[in-house]
Amino acid sequence: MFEKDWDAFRTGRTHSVQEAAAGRGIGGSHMDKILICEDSQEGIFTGIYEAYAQKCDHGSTRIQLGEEGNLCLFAEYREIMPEEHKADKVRRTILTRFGEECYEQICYALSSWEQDKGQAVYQTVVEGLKGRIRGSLMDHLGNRYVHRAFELSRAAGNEAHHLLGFLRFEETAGGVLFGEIGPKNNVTPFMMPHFADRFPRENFIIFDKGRKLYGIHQAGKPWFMTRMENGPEKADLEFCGEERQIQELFRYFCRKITIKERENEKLQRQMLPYRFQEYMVEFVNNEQKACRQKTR
Amino acid sequence: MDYSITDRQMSIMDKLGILTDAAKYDVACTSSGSERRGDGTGMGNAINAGICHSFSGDGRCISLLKILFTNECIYDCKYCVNRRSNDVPRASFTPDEICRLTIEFYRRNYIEGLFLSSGILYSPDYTMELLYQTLYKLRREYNFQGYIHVKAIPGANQELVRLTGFLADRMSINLELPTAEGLKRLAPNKHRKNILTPMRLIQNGIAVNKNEVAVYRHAPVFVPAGQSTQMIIGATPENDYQIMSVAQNLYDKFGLKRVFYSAFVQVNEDKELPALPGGPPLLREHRLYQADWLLRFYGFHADELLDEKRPNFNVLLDPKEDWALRHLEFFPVEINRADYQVLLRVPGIGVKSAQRIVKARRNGNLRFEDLKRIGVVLKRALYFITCGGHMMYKTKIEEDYITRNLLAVKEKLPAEVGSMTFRQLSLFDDVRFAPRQQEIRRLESV
Repeated sequence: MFEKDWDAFRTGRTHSVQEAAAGRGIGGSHMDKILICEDSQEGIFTGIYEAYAQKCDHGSTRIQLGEEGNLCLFAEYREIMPEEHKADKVRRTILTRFGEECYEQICYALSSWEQDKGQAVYQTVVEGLKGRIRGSLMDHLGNRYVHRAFELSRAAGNEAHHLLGFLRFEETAGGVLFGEIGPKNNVTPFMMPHFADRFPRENFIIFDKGRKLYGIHQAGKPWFMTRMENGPEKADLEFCGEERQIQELFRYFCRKITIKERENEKLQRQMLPYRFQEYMVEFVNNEQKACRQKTR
Repeated sequence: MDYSITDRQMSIMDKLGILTDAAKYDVACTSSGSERRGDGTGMGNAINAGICHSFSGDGRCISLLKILFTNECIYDCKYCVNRRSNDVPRASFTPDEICRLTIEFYRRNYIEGLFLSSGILYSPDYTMELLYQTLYKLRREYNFQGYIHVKAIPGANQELVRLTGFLADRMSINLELPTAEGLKRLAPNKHRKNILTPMRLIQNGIAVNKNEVAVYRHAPVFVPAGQSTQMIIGATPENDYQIMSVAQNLYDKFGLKRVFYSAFVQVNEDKELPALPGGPPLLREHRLYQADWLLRFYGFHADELLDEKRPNFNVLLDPKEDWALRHLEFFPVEINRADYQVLLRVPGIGVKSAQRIVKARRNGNLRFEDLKRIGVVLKRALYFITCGGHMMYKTKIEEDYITRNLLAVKEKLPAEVGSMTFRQLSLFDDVRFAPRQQEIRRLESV
């Protein structure tokens, strides 16, 4: 029955909106509803599915990621377990109703590290399914949830783009290129296609240190992601003999390319914040600075 | 022809040092304009937006391995470190060394590709051939599909330039100085004609190639990322109007992708060169770049920004504000109705925010809060716009009034530029010593 409701929404028939409104009446409570979802794309999509399936009033329903320390007194909590087929339905709906570009932006928004991403995406989908938007959904920046989702996706997209440049590979003794990053947003999956296209004949690993997440590419094979609690980190690895020399060469190059008369460290830091410099071979001496920045 | 000034035993480290040092005054380090997927067999691809891989101590982006092939040069350009009459260490790479460096750096994701320029070794033809050989090796033997920016050597054989163009993503020929007189004075071996001829050649090559690629999808692509050039600012007495007119001409008549402006850095002592005690004219360079953006993305024309009577930019205001203040009859602009082109002319609204406004207003009127969220810089825009017929605050549309307010929120200008130049005196302070102290420091560091 729930699936039927969702399908009705997907096709945009308006009477189901009224049904949903009536559904609130049947429940009889004016309490806020809080859906606790898993912090993943599947979890949040399932949450959105359930919000429709359970005929929640979207104005007073929120999606929350995981347990929160502070509970609301006048709210009903429901825990939502991620289910693949439900998430898939939502994914398909977003793709067909709002287009591929919008779906991609939503994916970026969902990779964000911010806690309100679930809510922003949920309300954006609600806004879109009302069917009143002219043009692309993500262009409707007058709506505050759409704008929030837009902001999150832009931040994640920017970080992913920056890291395409700031990532540094180091060659291990076994000939594998190992790159370590510490991004705020979960952007590794967005970076993998780029590098897989760029280095089809290389074995490389991108390691997200904070999330313990590995993106792995073997020469000539498709890439995949995996999570390991005690997997190898940069400090554990042994690098090949040439590695040191080439790093030294690049460090020398970076020093030489600077024009003394134009020195501008502030601009450098503005373009390339410490949190990236920490992981880059040409800035090894900046680790202390980065630590200082963190403690501040 | 085995004669060479350089020591053949030099290490790759020494060579890289010398030839990077010699190449750093070239401004262009962009890796944009080419979109190419890897073919699955070699290494590399190209991204249209370009990617910055690092930033050097002067805040400029490092995206390409920017080196000279050699800094041995038969020319004697007065502004250049590598001029014949300078006694500096000289070095040359071999094509193989460049290829290996590029590949090893690229694999580790240090760089987006190669920027290859060169001093003139023996003759323009000889040099151009070396550049061609290097690129050929890199593309065909090392199977490198990343970004390559290469200089065309003025005066080199046309066929060589054309062949090189099929291997590179972007080509550039430096205009060096905005006017022919300046060039004659400071670069006696270079001629304006020799610079413009290959520029035209590349332009025509790109145009012809567009048609070929349209018919045969897999035809080789000629300079897909277009060509660029560079001018030195402040070495000769040209004013901003002349410089902008030259840039406008280059965009219109030569179809250039970018014109770069390089604040003159005094590396040589020469009676023809100006003394710049305050360091390179960085603020002037900044204003020129701002104006350049106005030409390329905002639909402005050089003649609108400056004219014979006002030949220089106002250092205190950016060129767009400056234009708006002189054309107050256009304002205020209604955000919910105005054309995209009109929105672009409002200070505080950029290309992105103008696009977002045009899209967002389809779903209802925008208010000032919405504009803020969209990314409009209201502190600058508020004097020039209305939302639903109202201005944000009670403001006068008066040149003096707006100027005063705009200056109050201005970007931070260097201390010497503003009118407030007082500061706490100290016994050991003498402002005039500053450049000399810099020089002493530089000498100490050597």
